[in-house]
Amino acid sequence: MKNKKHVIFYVISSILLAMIQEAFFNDLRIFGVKPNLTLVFLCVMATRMDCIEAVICGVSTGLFIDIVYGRYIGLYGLLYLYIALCIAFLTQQIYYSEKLWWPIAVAPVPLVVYGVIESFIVRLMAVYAGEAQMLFTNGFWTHTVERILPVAFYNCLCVAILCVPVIKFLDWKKGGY
Amino acid sequence: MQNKTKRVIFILAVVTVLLVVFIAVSSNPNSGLHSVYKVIGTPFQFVQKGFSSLGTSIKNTFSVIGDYSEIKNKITELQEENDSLKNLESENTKLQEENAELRELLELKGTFENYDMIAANVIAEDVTDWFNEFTVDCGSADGISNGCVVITSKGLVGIVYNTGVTSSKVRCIVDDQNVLMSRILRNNALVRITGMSNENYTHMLKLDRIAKQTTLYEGDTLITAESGGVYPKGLVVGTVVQIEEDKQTGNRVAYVQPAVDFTSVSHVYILMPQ
Repeated sequence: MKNKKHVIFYVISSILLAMIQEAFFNDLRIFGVKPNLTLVFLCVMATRMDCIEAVICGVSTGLFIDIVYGRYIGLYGLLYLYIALCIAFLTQQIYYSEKLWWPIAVAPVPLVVYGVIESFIVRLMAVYAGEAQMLFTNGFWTHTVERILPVAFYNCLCVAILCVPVIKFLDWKKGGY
Repeated sequence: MQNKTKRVIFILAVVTVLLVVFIAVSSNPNSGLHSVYKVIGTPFQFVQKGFSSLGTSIKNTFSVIGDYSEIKNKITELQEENDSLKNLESENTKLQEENAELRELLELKGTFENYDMIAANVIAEDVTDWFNEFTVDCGSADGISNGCVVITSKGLVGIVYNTGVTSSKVRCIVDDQNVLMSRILRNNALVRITGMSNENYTHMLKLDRIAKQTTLYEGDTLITAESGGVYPKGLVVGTVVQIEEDKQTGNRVAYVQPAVDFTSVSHVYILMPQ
């Protein structure tokens, strides 16, 4: 692994962010949507990670969310793993990791795809468990417009707000945190 | 293929399979995997509690600042003497509200003689917004166990389903997983209530198994029934807001607005059977 401190810093920050989000951000809903800070942070950080670091960070953050706040252990571990890996892989392939604006450019598509897959899996499990009769009561497109896109948009907005200070901090502390 | 790429693919495959197994195992509510919350969740909930109190005090500070500017505007309009009166009035209102809440609590305590009641604060909601759950700052150390009923002075909130040492997870009645038998207050008819999907942030309940002879009107109040032994009898669940007829089966289905506003629940009471 390139930098163990990198991963430890990331995991501790994510845990703190999840707690801060729960303490402060429940009142910052816009149209019923609140940002997912851990996911936002993961998207920004993943642009500065290699694939193995992204896998470790994604899994550990997701598992923390699953254990402390979630219902199914492993669900968000899996989702966070793939979104982090996807961003890290794209960044490595295109080699834009040094650019400050890169997280803003790379995050929207994975975040929307994440939203679609998250909705699909959660609803599928609800149907499987007999809790719901159909996947999307008002149809997939209504659900996309009412939930997936607003959440993705809010998260993208947070990526745009957070990416500059986070990356500046990382660059400032390069090798030292 | 390079060695590093092979390594990443191998790790990915192993982790994915492991996580899928975890999901499958933990989808069973009685799975032992959930006990990991007791071990890992408890220390984090201590920190979460600290953050939560900090958040509350910051929110209170901001609301005080808001009130202050409002009062300041009124000072310019109504002179300085009125300010103290206004402060007294606001304090009085606060005390009255507190008094009313305590009275309601006292009435509730009288209603549930076979239960001990413990007050709890909501310290975390569902981070991902998918499951209608929240965490409270009471756990097995306070005598809470799985299955304890959670209420507010307005009515039924949900049920404790995962207990840590100092915190517990509560599943709201609006969650899809919750099914409870209920009675219509007006005619005592037995009906079934299920939580409705929260996929579009709706906090509603669905009423079915309505007998043909049962009369049901919009505005009817629903209370918990004694059957099942989980919920104490007589807790207010909600009010019927819409009645529809299923075209295929001809059966009636109704939608119920819960008595509790789930978007603003911050303090709850947990009923523990004596």
